[in-house]
Amino acid sequence: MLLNASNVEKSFETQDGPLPVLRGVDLQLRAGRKMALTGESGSGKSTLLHLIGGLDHFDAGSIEIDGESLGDLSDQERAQLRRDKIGVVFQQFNLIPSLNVIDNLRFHARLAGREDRVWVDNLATRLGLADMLRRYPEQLSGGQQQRVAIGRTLAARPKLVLADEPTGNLDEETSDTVIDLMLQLVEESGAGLLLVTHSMRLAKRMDEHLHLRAGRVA
Amino acid sequence: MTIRIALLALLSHWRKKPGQLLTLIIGLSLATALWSGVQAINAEARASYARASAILGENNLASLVPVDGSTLPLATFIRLQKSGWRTSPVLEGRMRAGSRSIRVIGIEPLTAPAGLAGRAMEAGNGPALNLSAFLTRPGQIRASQKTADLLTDLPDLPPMIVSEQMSDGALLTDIGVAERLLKKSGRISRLLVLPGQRVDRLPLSEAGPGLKLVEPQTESDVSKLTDSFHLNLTAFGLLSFVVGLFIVHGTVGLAFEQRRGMFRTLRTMGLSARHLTVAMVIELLGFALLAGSIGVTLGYVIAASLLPGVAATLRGLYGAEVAGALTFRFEWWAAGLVIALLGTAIAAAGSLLRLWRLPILASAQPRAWAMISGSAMKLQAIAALVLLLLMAMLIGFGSGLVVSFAVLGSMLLGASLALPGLFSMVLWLGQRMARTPLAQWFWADTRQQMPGLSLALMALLLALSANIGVSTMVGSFRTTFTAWLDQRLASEIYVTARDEKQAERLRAWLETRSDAVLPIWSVKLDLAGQPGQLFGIADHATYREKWPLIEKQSGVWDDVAGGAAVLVNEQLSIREQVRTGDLLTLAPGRSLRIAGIYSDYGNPAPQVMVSLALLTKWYPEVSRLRYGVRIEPAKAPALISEIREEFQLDERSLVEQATIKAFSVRVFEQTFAVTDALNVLTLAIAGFAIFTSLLTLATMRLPQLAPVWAMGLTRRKIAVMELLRALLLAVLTALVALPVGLALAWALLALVNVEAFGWRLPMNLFPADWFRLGLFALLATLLAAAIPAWRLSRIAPAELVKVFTNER
Ligand SMILES: Nc1ncnc2c1ncn2[C@@H]1O[C@H](COP(=O)(O)OP(=O)(O)OP(=O)(O)O)[C@@H](O)[C@H]1O
Ligand SMILES: [Mg+2]
Repeated sequence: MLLNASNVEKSFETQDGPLPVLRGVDLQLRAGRKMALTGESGSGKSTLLHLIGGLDHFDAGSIEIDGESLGDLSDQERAQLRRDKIGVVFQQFNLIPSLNVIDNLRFHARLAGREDRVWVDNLATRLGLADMLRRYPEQLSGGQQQRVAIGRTLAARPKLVLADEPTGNLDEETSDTVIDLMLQLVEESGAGLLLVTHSMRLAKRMDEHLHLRAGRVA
Repeated sequence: MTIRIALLALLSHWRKKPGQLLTLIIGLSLATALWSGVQAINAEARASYARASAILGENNLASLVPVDGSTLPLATFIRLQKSGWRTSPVLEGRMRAGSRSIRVIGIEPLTAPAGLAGRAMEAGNGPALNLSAFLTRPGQIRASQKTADLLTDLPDLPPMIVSEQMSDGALLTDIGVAERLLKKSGRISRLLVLPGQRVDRLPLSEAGPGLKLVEPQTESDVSKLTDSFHLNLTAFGLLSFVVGLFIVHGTVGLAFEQRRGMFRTLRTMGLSARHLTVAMVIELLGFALLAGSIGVTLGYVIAASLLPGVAATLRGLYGAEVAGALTFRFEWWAAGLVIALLGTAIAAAGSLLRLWRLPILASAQPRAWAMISGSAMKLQAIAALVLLLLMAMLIGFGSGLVVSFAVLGSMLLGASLALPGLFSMVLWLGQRMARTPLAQWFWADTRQQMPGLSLALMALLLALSANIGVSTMVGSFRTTFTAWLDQRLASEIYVTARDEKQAERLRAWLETRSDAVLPIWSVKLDLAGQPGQLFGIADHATYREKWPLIEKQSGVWDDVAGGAAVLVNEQLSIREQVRTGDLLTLAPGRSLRIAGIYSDYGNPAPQVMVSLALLTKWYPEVSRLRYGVRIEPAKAPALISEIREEFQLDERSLVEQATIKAFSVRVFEQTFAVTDALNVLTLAIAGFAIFTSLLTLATMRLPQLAPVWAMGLTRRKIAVMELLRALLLAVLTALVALPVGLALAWALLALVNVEAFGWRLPMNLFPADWFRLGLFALLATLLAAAIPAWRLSRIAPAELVKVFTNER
């Protein structure tokens, strides 16, 4: 099992006391499978994604990624895990503004110590970025930026791709092309994908579908 | 590897923002430059003092000197030798070489202490001193290159050896040569008491009556005197350094906020907080080293250009010889780099800590970096209050030089910390009173910008108040000093005879040719445990009318003339805490009432004045060589040339009052030049701080400005309002700086000066200077605000529209 979360709980401290967001979530994902995560706004989708990505700490339950239990890892080891096995794409602000497109694309792969130039070139071409490699993020449109972010994530060949509404800022048409590309590339790379989305149409194209309601899997 | 990649990513930020990098480097270099420049000047001066006092090993040998301050016959040395005292004679004096006076030190190589002979033998930069050559006539002279150059014109001097071990303006030779040069055949100035004395030697009172033992001085007089001057320089350097650190702090903080997105991305991709922090430390280290090197080099240039002025000041004010050229010192270079590193560490500590603790998911968008919370402002205000309270307590209950500087520190820091809160209040009032919506927006927006600008404004406040404070102090010093010179140098001509016989002839000769001849006779003696001087004064109208008494009893001059009372200088009265009416004991059985206290600037030592009759009664042997001559000022030059012709006296022995005054004024001009240069540099740094803050705010402020623009204000109008805003803040800062600067001047004059020199100077105000400074500050601010405003007035509307579409 690539990803195995069981009974995950998480609450946030607020002025009005603790706010329980996840009240025991179970989730399993095998390598090469794609899962959609839906739920109304505020249902805890992003929170769950962050916990799986080792970006935040959970209160109870367990999360295992590729056999490693997140709860047992130190900060240093979590960082190592992210570097080696996980790729995250947020809704926006994914890129390093001071690096140009090609450097952004190669960045995670270099960090993980497995840069594959052919693969990066391939990705760049497939994502339609080939003639803007020297440009800086601020000179790109929102859709172009997200394509770079996806390319960067996949360039590192992560085992698990986490995407939080990667096309949430884009119009439907652009969104479709970007998502098509992403699904295609993820499939080829054999990674597992967990995708947060509001679109039922998109959710239907995944292998699995998880709906969150009131902090539980509905 | 991981760190290398992280570092490259971090560094890529600066490639995109070269201006920011430049700001950081310039800020840090300037801070380091002023600090290390001042340190270089101080180090050079200290090295000169040390050289001067080390020539005779004054630091560690006691010596025997005549009680009355005159010289000894050779016979005394021989008698002491026979009584079991192991001593070595030294003959010291000054001789003329062209326009300069040179200190001549004659030693007796056979008996001179090992260290001294060793020093004389040291290779230095010249050829080694040959002992046998030193011992056989015609002897040798050791002097620095500069001194040697002065001596080349003098006839029949023995061979010269150039040694950089010697301080400028002094030469070392054997006592025989010294006798000839000083025309003091068979005389000794003092006897060095050698280590390893015999136990069975006769007591001093039997072996050498009329001699007294002077313990070694731990510190030469000259360095004690000049300490305060150097302390002031150091304070100035430190201040500039702090102002520079404001810039560094601002830039590093800004770069941190702008890279928030990058931090989140890097962390998400698996870089740990530790890796990231280490990478940032390495990045800062690199910048600090680079900027430190530039700064030290720049500091060297500053020091080299200021040093001649400083040297002139020190020579003129204190008679301290400081080489006018800078030697390169490795310690100083290293110290400059260390201070740059330290400064960077202080300025970046907050950002590093935040980076270390930054949660991965913290907002990736640059937060309004400028917006510190209200609670932080409150904290600042409380800190300011505590500091100002501390200052008040220190003034009330503390004493000592360190406390005085603590007062200065808490005053400046407290005032700067209080500034943002104070401004916030003023701006709030402005907002309340604004009538039009535009005015309301203007005030509110200015207020919102305060946190982002406060560091730069604090820097400006520091620079302006230091400027006002220091120039008020120097100006007061000059005004007081020149007025005092007028009183103190009451005689038109000062003349010193070569010997007693000539003195007698001179008196008789002048009797008919001048209005009055006033003896200036004195002996050295211990006053209140410190070496001081006892003067005898004639009963003459000159004194009654002009002497600068700052406190007196009625009938003071009659009492002094009648031998019933004394005058003391301000230094003595402060040190001994005596007032008029108190009794002063000069020696057992010699207690007299203090009838007056006079100001005595430029002299750190205690002084007492009695009537001439008393002086000659107590010290019949007192040397009677010096006189003040009263005459109509217009006739003075003619009389001087007559005296010179008749008595063959050189310029040093025969001076016109006007010359001394002109010289003193020149010295002050030099001092002014040095402080002015430092003032301008500090102000320039503050101006630069404002410039960079405005520039950064300009880009972050677009979201605030875009709505106003969209609602129908032209870009030009907005730009003009930005300029006005900067000017308003500068004016407010200048208004606060005035009282702070005056308080600073007061502390310098009434606390630091009293502690360091023993006298208190009255404070003079120079409103014209403030006005000039205020204009200067406004101009600097205008310049600093011009570029951001200009850019704003020409910004592409697309940039402003972007604010509304959620694009980057
Ligand atoms: N740091 C935080 N502190 C307090 N509450 C938080 C924090 N982060 C999230 N929350 C709360 O947790 C709940 C879940 O947030 P989350 O971002 O996971 O929702 P979401 O399902 O991703 O919503 P959306 O579809 O709008 O993105 C929300 O009620 C949110 O207000
Ligand atoms: Mg969300």
